[in-house]
Amino acid sequence: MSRSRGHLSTNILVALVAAGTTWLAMSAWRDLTVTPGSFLNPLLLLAAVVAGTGTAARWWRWPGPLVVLFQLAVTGVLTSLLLTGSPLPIGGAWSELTATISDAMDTAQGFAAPVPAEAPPVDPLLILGGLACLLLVDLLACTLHRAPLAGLPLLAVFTIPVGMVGDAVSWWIFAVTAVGFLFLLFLQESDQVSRWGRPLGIDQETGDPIAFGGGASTVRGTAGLVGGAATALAVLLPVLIPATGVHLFDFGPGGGGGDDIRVDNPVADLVRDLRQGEDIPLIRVTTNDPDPSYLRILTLTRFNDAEWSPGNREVPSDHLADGQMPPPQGVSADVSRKEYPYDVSVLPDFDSRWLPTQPPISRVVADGNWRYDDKTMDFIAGDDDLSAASLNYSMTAVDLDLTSERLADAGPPAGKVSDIFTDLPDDLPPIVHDLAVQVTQDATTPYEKAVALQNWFRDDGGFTYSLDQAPSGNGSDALVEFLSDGPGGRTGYCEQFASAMGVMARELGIPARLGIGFLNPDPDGPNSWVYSSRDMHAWPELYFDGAGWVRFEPTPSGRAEDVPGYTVPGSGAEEGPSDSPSASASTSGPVQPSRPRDSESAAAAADDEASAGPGIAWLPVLGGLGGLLVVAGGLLLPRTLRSRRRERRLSSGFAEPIWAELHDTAVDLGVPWPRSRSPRATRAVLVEHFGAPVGPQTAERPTHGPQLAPEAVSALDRLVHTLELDRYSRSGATFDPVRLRADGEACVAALAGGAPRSARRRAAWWPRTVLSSRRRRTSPGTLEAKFGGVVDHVT
Amino acid sequence: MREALAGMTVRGRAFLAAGVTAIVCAVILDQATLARVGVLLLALTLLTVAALARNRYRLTLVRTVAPQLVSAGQSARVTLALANDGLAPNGVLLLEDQVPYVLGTRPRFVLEGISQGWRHSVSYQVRSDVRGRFEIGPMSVRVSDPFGLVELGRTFRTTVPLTVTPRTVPLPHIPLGGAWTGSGDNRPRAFATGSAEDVTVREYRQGDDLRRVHWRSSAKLGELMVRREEQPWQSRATLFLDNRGVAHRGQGIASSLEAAVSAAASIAVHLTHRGFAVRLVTATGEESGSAWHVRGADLNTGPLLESLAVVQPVSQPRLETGWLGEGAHGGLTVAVFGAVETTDLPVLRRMQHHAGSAVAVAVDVNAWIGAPAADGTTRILAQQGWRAAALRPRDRLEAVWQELAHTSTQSSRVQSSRQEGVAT
Repeated sequence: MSRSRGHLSTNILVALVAAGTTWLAMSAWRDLTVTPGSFLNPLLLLAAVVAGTGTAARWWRWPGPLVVLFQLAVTGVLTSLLLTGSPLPIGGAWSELTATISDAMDTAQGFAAPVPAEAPPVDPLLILGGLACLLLVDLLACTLHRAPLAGLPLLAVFTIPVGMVGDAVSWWIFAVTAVGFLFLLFLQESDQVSRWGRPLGIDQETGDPIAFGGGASTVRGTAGLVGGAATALAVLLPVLIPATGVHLFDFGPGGGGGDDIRVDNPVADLVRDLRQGEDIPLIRVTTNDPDPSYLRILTLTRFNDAEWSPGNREVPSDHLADGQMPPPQGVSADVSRKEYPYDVSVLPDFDSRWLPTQPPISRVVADGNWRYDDKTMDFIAGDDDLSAASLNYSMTAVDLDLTSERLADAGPPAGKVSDIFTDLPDDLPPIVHDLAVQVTQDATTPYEKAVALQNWFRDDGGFTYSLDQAPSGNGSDALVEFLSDGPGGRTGYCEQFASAMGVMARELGIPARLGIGFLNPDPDGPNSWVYSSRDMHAWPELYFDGAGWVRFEPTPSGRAEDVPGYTVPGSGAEEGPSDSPSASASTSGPVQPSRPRDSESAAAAADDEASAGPGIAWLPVLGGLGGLLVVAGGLLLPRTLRSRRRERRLSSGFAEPIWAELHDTAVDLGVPWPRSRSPRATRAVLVEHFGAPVGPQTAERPTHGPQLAPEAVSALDRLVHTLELDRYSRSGATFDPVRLRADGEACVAALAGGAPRSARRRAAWWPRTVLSSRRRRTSPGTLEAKFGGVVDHVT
Repeated sequence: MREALAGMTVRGRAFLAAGVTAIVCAVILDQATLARVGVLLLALTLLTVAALARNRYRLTLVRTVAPQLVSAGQSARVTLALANDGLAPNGVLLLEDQVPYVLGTRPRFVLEGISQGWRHSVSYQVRSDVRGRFEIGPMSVRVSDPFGLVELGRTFRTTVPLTVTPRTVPLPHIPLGGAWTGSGDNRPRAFATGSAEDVTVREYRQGDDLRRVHWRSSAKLGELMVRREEQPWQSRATLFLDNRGVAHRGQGIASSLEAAVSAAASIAVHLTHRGFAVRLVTATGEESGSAWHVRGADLNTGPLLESLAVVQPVSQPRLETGWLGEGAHGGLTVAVFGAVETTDLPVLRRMQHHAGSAVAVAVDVNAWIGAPAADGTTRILAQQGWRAAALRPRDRLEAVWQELAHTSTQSSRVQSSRQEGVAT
């Protein structure tokens, strides 16, 4: 009966490989704790025990369930011994065990990986989980002989570090596990094979050798080669596949794994920086822009009950800050604009993962993996360790010439921007809506409503600018507290003003977002400005169709002296919010006289317009054209090659190339060409497929026969005769190139004329003789030789 | 490649699907480990397919069966000589010879790591307790890969026949009264009537009359040939086997037909060894290839037993009598009958009439389905002038055959009186 249970050595090998592979896979859990040895060593012992008990029980031919029970019992006792010191988890040991496990679960929930050594160890959890995997793999691979299924528990082992640490399993652990798994497969398949055939040995009746004993070395070689190559590919290929880095979905801030981008919310910093006493210079810009105010760090797009947050960002790896930027969203092309170059030098103290820009911008060049989100044009660090600190970069800011008339005429914004800019939590207190309606009851257009809101915050609403008495944060509760007219209400600073206006604009159906950045830099020499921590500011940006995202300024003049010119109805083309030095208490710089921006030359504006509009669309167009060219080239290439080959042969002036051309034409058209026949015999076959030359009235499937193309038949006869003279006569043939060419063309035309239209089309566009290699695969004999065949003789 | 792709096993297809799914999920979820798993599965499957598609082995098989004619219960040996004329295959070759299950288990072999020029021969035994003609082969080849992902089927084409003849028993020598029939020198016979003389010329021997030289044949063969005008006397016997389905009971190896066939085979061997030229006639008429020929006894039994090996029950209700009209009057007729109906009586009478001596073994078919022994058939046959003895399941054929010798006097008396009656 040894046949059905195989050799003992094979059984031991399979069990050991299964347990070893599982244990090696579990070494991917090393990063979960600081002391990986404390769970890997017990698991190694358990793996050995699982393999040993399993092998023994199967060797004794116990039924499957009994094998599993036996393994469970032995390893259970051993685990209990390891975890509690008592072989049986009864009484005190049981409570100790449960306490250990619950401690481990608490640790697992409370600490991020790797779990520090001081915390109660998570090892019991890992040991129990690892034991389950070991038992499962042993059950599948050894007891049930289903090695492929054992891959699932192994995969589960791999997913745990990915889920917890966020790191991929290191390549060598993966490679070792893959090799082990493939070895397991190979062993099981060899076992199957040995069960299938007769065992090596001697026929008992006759003493004859009864089986073919070939060395299995080549099979092992094939297995090793295929398995090794597959493992190597599996290790190397995913590194090379760029697609694995693409974010198709983003699961909120900080979601996802791998090289995800951490999205920080610097609003907290804003408060801290504004409140803290010291005024630290953060950014220095050099520009000829007369008013470099409102340097934006980021926008907050999502408002929920707790706060305004940056929301989800799509930052594809090709959206790099390395040159031309997309045109500002929603700005119609007829808005005149000027461009100002900026050279930004971030000082070491400004440690930000967001790159400050002066929106809207048309060009940014910054070193490093800075990616932009084309909805908001925020620039985010693509790498975890990338920071804006000490960075020097340049950009071109666009100054749009917006007028209040344009804003007043703006169409409804519905559908122009993403819904996230109008989303509000369902349980927003009704006071917000009521107030928004009440304030804007006289306004009709969105622009008028926005202006009404701004005026309400700045002048009519009785708000007070104060850093100290403001409600903390910008969530719903803070909002209600800020809006309510009671004691302590209607007091706040830019964060509250901006967020309240943003929320109320959204209540009125105007897409809104919050910009966080700097206001009112201090001049630092000619054309040079310095932004410091006290200049941090927040403002709402509202979307108007045709004007894009438009900045408003609800913060009262205690902080922001002026409102943008277009927010004053009837202000005309003059934006002119002359920037006065910040009135905030901390600002101590000299007063910078305002300079209207339109003093810049009109030529620059014209240039900007010319370069800004269509410039961006070139890339996809070029790409599309290139793709089209490639496709067209691919389609035209076989045809071109074929016609060049035909031309070369026809004009060669010899009979053999023309004969070869005739052969290729026949093959392309699907006309049978007899193999290994004389030209004369071939001619007899070919003339049957001759037809009248192709004309406009040629049928879909034209009739063919020698009588339809008598001149082609005589041309073929001449060709055959020349060929025979050339091949067989002693003196050889004398060639008349012109005649030969004419005959060849006549034959080719006649062949085409006799072929169905589909065959002609295929021959023209998809000629088989060009596309397939020269190898002919016609007879079944070659087919057998190609794929491996069997030939038999019987005596 | 396409064939190898089509030959993927469930495991191979599952790996392929799982690999693609894993890669797609990895791209969507951005999981490098999942991508690795996917690439591993995909690469493993595709590389295996490519490896098997690149196979360039070329197996040749020479199959020998010795002996090709065995009696039921005896064994024959099949020898397979395999050689690989191509390159070493990338994979395991699983060979299975498709032997009819009657002949035993199908031998299976595993070929691993056969290099170019490898040759090996192996033999195995087959035996059958059932008579018949069996085809051994063809050999099927399954090409499998080391991981069980792809499996291609191949098969050799040719087969070898093996004929298993019925079991025979040696019979005692009893007087049969067979006549010497045939044609002599003075009685030339028409060749078309199945004469033993198909060859009309023989080599010239010293003393032959020159007038008998057959010049045409001599010119053709390059040596003197003479016409052969003397013909040997021949002792002829007709062995009749009633293989109508209606005449027999039971199914398969336990049926009365098998007993009848076995008895007929024993009688055929016995008669041949006694010097009779035996022809076999069944319910469908004369068996081709078993006409009277002048051959040695051993040569003669072969075709007879081969014919008997493949005798199957026929559904026709009436016995074919065409063979009776060939002028073969006289001679010995030994018949093995099953159940005899009244409609058969005229045929029985004609057969007896044509025969010089008519001997019958009447298989008591109803005894094969448990009915009590009855000798009705024997009596009917005796009334028709046959020397008949009944064969029952537990009877030994030797004894029954011996019994025929005892019944001979009575039968011949009946026969002679009948002949007298006919004469008068």
